[in-house]
Amino acid sequence: MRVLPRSGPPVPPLLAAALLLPALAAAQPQPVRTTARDRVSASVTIYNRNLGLVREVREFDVPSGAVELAFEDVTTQIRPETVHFKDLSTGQPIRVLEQNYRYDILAPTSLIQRYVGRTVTLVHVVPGTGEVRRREATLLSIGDVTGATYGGGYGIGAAADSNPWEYVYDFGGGEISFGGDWRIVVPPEIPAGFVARPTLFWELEAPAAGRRRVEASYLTHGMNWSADYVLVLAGDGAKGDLTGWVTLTNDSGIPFDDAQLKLVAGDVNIVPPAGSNFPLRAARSRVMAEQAAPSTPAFAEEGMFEYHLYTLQRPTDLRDREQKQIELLSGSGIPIERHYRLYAQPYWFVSQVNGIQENLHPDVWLEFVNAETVGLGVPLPAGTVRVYETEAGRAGGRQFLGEDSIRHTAREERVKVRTGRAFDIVIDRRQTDYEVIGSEAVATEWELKLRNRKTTPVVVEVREPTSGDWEIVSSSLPFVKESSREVRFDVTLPPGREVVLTYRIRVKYY
Amino acid sequence: MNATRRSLGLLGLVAALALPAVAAAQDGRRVVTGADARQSVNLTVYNNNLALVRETRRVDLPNGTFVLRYEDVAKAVRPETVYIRDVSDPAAVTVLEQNYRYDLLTPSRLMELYVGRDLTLVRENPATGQETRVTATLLSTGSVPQVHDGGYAPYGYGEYGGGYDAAPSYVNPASAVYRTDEGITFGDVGRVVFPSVPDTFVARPTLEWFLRSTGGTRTIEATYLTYGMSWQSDYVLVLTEDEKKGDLAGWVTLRNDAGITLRDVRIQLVAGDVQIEPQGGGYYGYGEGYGRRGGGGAGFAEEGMFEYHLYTLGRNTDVADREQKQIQLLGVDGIPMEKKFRLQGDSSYFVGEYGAPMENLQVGVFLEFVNARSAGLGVALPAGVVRVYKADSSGAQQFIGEDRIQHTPREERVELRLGNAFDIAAERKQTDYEILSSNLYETAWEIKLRNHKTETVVVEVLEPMAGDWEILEKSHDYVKESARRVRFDLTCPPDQEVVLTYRVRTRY
Repeated sequence: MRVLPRSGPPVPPLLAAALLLPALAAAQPQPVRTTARDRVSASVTIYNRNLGLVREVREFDVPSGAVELAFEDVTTQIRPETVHFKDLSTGQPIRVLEQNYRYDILAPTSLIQRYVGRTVTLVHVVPGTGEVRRREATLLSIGDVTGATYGGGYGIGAAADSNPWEYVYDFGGGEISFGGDWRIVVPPEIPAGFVARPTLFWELEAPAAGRRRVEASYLTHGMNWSADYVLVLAGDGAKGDLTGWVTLTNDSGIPFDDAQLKLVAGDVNIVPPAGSNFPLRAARSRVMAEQAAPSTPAFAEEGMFEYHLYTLQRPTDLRDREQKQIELLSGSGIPIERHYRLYAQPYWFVSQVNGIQENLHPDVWLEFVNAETVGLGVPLPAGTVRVYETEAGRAGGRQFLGEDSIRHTAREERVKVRTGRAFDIVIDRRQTDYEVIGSEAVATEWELKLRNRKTTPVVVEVREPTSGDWEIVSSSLPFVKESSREVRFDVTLPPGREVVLTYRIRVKYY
Repeated sequence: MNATRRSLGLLGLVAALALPAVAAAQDGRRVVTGADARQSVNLTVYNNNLALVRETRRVDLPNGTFVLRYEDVAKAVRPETVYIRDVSDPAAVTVLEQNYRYDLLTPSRLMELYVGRDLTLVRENPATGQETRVTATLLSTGSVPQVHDGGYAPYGYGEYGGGYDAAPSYVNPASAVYRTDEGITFGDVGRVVFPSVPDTFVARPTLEWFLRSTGGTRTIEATYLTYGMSWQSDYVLVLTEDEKKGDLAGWVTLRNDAGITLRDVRIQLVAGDVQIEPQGGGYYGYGEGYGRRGGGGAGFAEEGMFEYHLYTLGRNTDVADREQKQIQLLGVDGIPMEKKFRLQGDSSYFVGEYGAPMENLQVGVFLEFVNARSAGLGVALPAGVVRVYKADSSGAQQFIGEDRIQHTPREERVELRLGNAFDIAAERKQTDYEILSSNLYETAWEIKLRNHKTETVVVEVLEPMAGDWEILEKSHDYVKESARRVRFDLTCPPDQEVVLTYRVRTRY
């Protein structure tokens, strides 16, 4: 039986099947078809790596004995090697002898290839009279559709498209010709082996005829989700309310109605496709937002292996080419720290920098701890945090302040969001000295003028990215060695005042 | 080289030695055999885009010398590897010559061959539909050779071999030049009608043999290598609730893009890295299998073959063109599993944006097991992808990661990277960097780990080392895994921060 949950010793289904060989070879009946209409239930687990796990249960009738089952309505971006089939019926289960995924699609070139050497009908319409002329001809060739079939015979079967202009016909009686204004017509029967769309087939061995309940599961590309957070700053901006939303997209090619929806947060390893067998298609979708009632938590969260699993507490319809949003979490009154940080370029400290860099503005960072004590303390899946100011007293309502992406953040960890630059804090910096010391060291001297045009005092962190083996020779303000590559000055700026920071650094780089 | 011309050249050679025979062949004694004559097919598929097809056909052969046209071989055949023999009586059929003909019938090739010859132009009066037939001599196809880097290469691949400057996709009859009763003309001349198709063309790439036979209904075996088929393993590993054990099922995934459909075929798979030369070199003629092992279990019987492993499917099946097929290979329950957490410090000298310390590093989670006989395995595990599942609280199996494994002999360890641990936070920074002399450096590192799970975990911190190194100070003991790597095993209790610091002196 197919594998997912399985108990007991390994099953050797094909050993028995070896005895059935003549029966199998002889049996070429029409396959039993099952479609989405046979679906009893569906469950979809979406990972935030463009991956979904589909599990669906279907009920349908099968005859006894060897059966070929066509399992239709799977996603177009299915990873066929991941499909598993399980018989949920009572009694002796169906045996799976083999599973096939066929993708020989009926297309003009693949169709016409079957008629080379055979008689086809050519239809020509005389432009002036509209007279329809039909002629029979033997199709001698459809031109060279083998690709590069030269030399070492490196021709790969995947044929190029043929061009009807290249078709060569024998009309009989010494009339060989090509081109011409003809429409080609072949007999109405579809040649064997073609499928209308890539389809899964199972070779089954059913112990008895009757109704069967089977579960099929597979991985598919074309499903993805991410978190979107809204952080609304309250009052003076020292506190904020955080709401997390799940944004999920389905571009997998088929809809799932009334599906059980689960989401996995975490970096699940995905093997890059070998060759180009399973191309990842870029996600593309239109927005159809659905807002869940915020009173009850929409998702239940649980730890699963080293990840987190969210289960939507009600079934939902997952349409194809749809983006759906559902609330995930919320916390209010979260203490927010605000930091002003000025960064520089490492190479400035070992080279000559000309002129004055004027009108620099420090980055604004908002930081909070994902702590239980502030109503959070839950896993925060990777996503985008959008920051809004409070709407109180503002004409036009709440305004957008900036956005940043965060990675997966465990509980009790710190979240850092860079929202933009501070308009009213202005910094001018210049290199006041550059000294080459021997062949292995350089000293540079810096002057930074920091002005606070706000009405409240601020502290600006001047974070200088140093390199090499460095030493601060002198400085007008104290500093902190953040790491071997960063020195930090905390500059306190009263409102409306200018503070000047000067320091000299010597860098040994060889 | 152009096959038509090559075969003509060889024809001359053969003619010198065996004139009557070739004369007979040229008399047009031709036997055609296709898929309907197949008696049996054996297919051996390799991991790396290669398959060996061995098939027998029943063919009625005349007495003497003739051409056997052998149709319905894989489109991706490597023609230089084809080999035929008479199964029952190898002496009954002698191969004089083997040709792989790929001079495909295309309008441009047809035009080229009719240069200097007569053909008919059919013109239709657009208003009345009345047809007029004009006899014309084709003077030129009008295709002007293009100058390429390597010199001249004409349209069409007739003259200069190699075939890399291939024919244009279609010829334009309006550019050809004709002589009619009116004079020399070109342009809108009408539909070109040829009286016959020269014998040299084939509708699709075709194998032909010049054979000499004693005649009668014979069983011919043909063997060839083809591209376009591959297989790999796909494994499903289902972890138990406590993650201490797992059930492993292995499936064979066979993919056929070789341009052939084979019915009722016996399938064998070779696991192992077989070298393939880019050009030439046949692979038939390796030794037969030895040391057959009993059982094999689920569908495939496994045996050693040379330095590889050979799997034989216990029944015949069909392999369709453009199909991916899966068949079970093995299934073993209750294999002991080990879960490991690793922080790979492989980017020690990388500095994050703005030169800031690296925060929110990912701690990888790995699963390891031994392919041991004592665990019920102990079999060759062909290369493939292992997908790992675990049940959630509702009992539904959820996918928790996949990784590719290489060919793994028995008693070897399998290591799978499943993903990153969401609830273990890590950050690192270089706290000091000192240049002692031009080739002597000291660096100091601080690595912080915070475990936000509810149970204690051990995280392996793997630190790359360079040059001639010596760890001067350290907060935790380490294991020297190699000259280039040390490992610190850090025990991290729940909701505590563990800080690892060390200082290393490096001489380059």
